[in-house]
Amino acid sequence: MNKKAAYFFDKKNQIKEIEWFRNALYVFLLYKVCVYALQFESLFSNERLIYHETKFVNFIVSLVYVLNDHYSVSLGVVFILLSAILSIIGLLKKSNYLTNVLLWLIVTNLTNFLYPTLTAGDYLLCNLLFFNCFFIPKESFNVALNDIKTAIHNTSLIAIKLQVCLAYFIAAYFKITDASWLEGYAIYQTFQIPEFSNSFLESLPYSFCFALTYLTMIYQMSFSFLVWFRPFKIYLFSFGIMQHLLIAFGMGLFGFGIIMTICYILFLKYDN
Amino acid sequence: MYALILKTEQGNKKNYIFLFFVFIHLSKILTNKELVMSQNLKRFFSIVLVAIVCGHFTLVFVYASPFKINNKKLFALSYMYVYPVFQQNWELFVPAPNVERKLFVRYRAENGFSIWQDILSQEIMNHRKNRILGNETKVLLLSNSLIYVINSLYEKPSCILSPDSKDVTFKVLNFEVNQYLKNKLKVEAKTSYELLLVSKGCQNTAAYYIKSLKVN
Repeated sequence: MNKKAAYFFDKKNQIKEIEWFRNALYVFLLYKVCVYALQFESLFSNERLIYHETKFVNFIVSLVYVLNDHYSVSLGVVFILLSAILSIIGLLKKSNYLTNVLLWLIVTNLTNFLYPTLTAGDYLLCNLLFFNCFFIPKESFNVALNDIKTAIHNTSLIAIKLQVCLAYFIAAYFKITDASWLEGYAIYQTFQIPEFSNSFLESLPYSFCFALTYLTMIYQMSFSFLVWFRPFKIYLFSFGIMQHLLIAFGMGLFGFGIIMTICYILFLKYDN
Repeated sequence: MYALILKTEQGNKKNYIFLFFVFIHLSKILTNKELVMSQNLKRFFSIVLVAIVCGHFTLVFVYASPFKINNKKLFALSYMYVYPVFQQNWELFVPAPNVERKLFVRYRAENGFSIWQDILSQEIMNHRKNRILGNETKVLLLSNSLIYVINSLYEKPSCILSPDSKDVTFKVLNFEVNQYLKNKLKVEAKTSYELLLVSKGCQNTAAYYIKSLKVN
């Protein structure tokens, strides 16, 4: 038990990786702000394509539906600008609990507002930003308070890793119980659908797609278990990065592919 | 905490006094520079943190799980906790999509109707030109709404549709097309338009024709 308690209290773990992860996250958010600016007319203007209905569930839920429930173009602009400013504050390493919580709330509001355009990556981004709130807290003069902050930092680190593993495990389980994946034609079939393909992917031979289908299932199923062992990481990350770049640039789910790749940063270990 | 605030709002003076003493006590603890957590307190705090993480992921797992959970109370609790703050869905490409969908639209111009335009395919082609400009949002927007409408017509043969005005799936798609016509194609208000929804599978192809729609 002492050793386990020591994990939480001894020191803030993986500071270097968390800083890389945070920077990647903030740069990604700045990219999203650019996308919102480019697509402003379709997503945020008075003539936007997104259909909305307001409904009150409870106070906590309404906190993440502020933009949806009280939408005006100017409020949309404020939310986008705030997410840019808070990301820049984070990149300059001036963020604290308050700015990070605010950033999480703003991004969750934007995500919920754009609900028909979301992918699993957008939901994962909100989860990552939530745990990011507790990373690398500023030192306080109170020793006990510092201990608590360190423990919460280390817990958040574990929580993000568990979140990623859970995502892979659930995704893999869904796949191994589905006929199209089990019989090996899922990826070939997906590449024939224009939304998730391009001319190169459409022309890939069936045998290659068949192998890729099984490799994907094996990769996703094994990720949750093998990522904790150093010798396997290089193989897992190499395949994972290639796969997610293919999803980003080939299949066109750019946000999803990039956010999944960013998650890998926390599994690197340069402290030891 | 929220319940506590609600109670105090209802004018319960006892709660105000209790909160005041909690505040004084906490501020004393936080301003005491010498205060150090004992080993036992650290262990206890570690257990609390582990319990919170376990509780969080149990509820997330129950919500997003592929396993059928018969406990309705647990599922309701997980739904309340996860949605919408920790929302997630990992049913990625399961089952693999096997139907190509097309969304054709035509509108009344000066000399009769315009040609049929496949607006979803146009957005897909735009997105293929450059993946990082964010055209993904428009493709997903139109594609998701179209999928919901076509799925709601499950195995219905090709026909002329007169959608129910209360049908939310069609309401959403129609809103998007309506805005698209105004925004992108600069169609004026009150212009008539028609839709053709096509679902092209390996074995079956179905088309649904919807007429007498008007740009708002």
